[in-house]
Amino acid sequence: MQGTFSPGGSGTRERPGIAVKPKKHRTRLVSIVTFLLALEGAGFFSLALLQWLRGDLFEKVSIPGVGPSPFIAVFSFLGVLAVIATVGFYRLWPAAWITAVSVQGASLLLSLVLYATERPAYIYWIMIFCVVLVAYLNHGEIRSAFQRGPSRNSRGGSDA
Amino acid sequence: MHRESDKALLRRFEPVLRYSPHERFFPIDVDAYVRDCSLWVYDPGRGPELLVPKGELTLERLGEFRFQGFHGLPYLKFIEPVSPAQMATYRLKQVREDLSEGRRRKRFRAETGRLARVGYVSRLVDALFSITLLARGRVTGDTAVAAGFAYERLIEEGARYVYYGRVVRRNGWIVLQYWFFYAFNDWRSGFYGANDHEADWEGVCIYLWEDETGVLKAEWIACAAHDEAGNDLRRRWDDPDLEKIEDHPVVYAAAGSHANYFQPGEYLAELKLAFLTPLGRMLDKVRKFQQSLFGKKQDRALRHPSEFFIRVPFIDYAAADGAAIGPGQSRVWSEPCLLDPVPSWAFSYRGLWGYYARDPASGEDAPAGPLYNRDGTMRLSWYDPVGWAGLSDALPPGIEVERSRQAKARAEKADETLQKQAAEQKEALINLSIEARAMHAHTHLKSAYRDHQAKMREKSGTLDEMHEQIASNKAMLEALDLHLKALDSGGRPSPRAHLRRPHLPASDVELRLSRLAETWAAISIGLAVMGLVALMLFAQDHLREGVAALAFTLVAIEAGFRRRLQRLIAGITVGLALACSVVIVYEFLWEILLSLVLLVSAHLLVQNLRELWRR
Repeated sequence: MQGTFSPGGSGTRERPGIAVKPKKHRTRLVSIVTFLLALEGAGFFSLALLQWLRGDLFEKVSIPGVGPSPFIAVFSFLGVLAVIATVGFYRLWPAAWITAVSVQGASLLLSLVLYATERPAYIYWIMIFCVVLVAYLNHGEIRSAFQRGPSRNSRGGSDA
Repeated sequence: MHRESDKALLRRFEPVLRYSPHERFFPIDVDAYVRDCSLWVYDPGRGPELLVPKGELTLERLGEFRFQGFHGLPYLKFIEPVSPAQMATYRLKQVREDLSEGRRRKRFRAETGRLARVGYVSRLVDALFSITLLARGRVTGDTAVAAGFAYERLIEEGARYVYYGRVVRRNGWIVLQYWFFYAFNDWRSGFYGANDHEADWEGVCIYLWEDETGVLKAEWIACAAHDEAGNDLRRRWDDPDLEKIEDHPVVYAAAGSHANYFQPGEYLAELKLAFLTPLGRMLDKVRKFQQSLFGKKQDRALRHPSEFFIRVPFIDYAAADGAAIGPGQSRVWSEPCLLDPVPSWAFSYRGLWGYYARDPASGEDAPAGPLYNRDGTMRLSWYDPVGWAGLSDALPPGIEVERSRQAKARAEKADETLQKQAAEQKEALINLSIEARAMHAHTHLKSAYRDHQAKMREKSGTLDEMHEQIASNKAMLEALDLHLKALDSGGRPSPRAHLRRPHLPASDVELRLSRLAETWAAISIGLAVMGLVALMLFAQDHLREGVAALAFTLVAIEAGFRRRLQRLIAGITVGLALACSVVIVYEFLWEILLSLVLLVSAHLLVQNLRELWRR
């Protein structure tokens, strides 16, 4: 049976009667955000590493409601999430966008908490970096690249 | 003769009204109702005063009633409180009916709860609204029971299923108005709705036009629902959503409220809170700013978030499996009563048609008659049925063709005149130009030359304006031509092109909200308040963190049920980003300003150097 080829010319043969998802391609903006996320992940790991090299393995950041938490563990966790988001952006996983946004949310929240308590100098850099990333992540082009398709809540029927 | 033809016209298009199986009150004639009422007047200084006792009131006497004074409000009273013995008899009868095998009638049960369809703010407002019912004037709980007794008695005494009709000819439309009178509205007590009140006037309008052969054609139908007005109330006759039995449209009356809809289903009726409107507008502006900042498209439901945020939700249940009244149904309409000429009971009596509960929100007060609002002013649907359905600027199709032809002829004539004037101006300008060229370099004609130059500039400006107008006229003529061609070929816009926020029944997705979500909606506000009290009692040291955690948990659970967790996280992150931006600006204002100045000067430097190198 003769099949048709997908419009992207990727060579994948479309089976008749089965809908084929349109292949998404990585835009320049997605590549920029991927790079920034990788940089963010590296930054968090560097912060954790620096702390380790300084020998203050047990220094803690005080998070109200949570209590004092190990500095290395908090920043390593954020680093791991940032790496997952980077890989997701590179592979265009639909869940990558929300993972990246969650990392920014957690980082910004942590920065605000630290600003209210210990106020270390590096939090301003984290703040600036995350604000820039939030602006990028909310850009229409980035959102549409990771959209899962039409909303299930959308109601048809009216053409008004 | 005219009266007879109006009646025949009303009968030809009379609607079929379908009801929920739990509906207890159907349209009856006002004569039987008024005979069962007493007439009262309420004066804020003196309280209620009986004017005509029950059994002595007739429609004629109501029509003769003239109320003098600014402060009093006349009203009818249909129901007398039931005695405990009557109430007990009624409850026993209900139990017997439920238990009896032969007459097993399912009690009304709401599907997905109304609270599950809205957010926390609306739930909180709803809780406050319910509490205010204790303080506001209201129709007491046993009134619905008593109304049921009284209505059954009226039917036994021979009250008919009837509508009040009127034919209005305006703007080329022939409007058929059908008014339905219900003895009682038991939306709150029977169907978890917003209010109960004695008497209820509802209406349906059908808009006809006469084609060149004199045949009457139906074009639009509009249904009254909760005192609303505008385009969204009407549907075109060829709309696939509009059900018809021959020439008779089918209308679904919601249980208890009797609001009319075109399709069966569950409708979210919103009680808008006027005092919260400024807050809503502010919210809309914030959302619009966010939208413009990130250039993202939002779904339809979020374009006006305040509309979904600040409202008390109630559901109108418009089912199709109950009684039906109309041609070909088990119950048929009696001879219609014409409201033309307007009978004195409708025209002269401006008071309420049922009990005045003194409710500041007016929901529990009975409505006035078909001509008037509760405050005695004229009802829009009565004095302007065309404007009420948003048809003030619309013409019947036949008249529209004629008027479009006239508009085209007018535009052509205006264009012709303008072209002629433009040609004259052009000729004058050429003449002036030739003379000016001839005068050039003659010193003694210097002054005349200058005058010529000024005149030429003026004429040239006028000519430019004329050419602009001619181009605009041409575009208008082309548009009119296309419009006429479309009208001639029978082409019409979509039947739903006029709709903005039409009443649509709840979608399957909304109804599919799980039982868990429904339960959560019912208990969430109570749990939140209890959680807050627990924090205040046991964790005062961590009250702020506790409240934040509690609020986040509640919001996250709700967002999870609605599949909006992603939107919630994104929203919170944007909020945090804005907060951090404020912190950065606050901490580094001077540095930021200096950096900006440096950037601007560097930009200027680069631009100037580029210009220099290009020379």
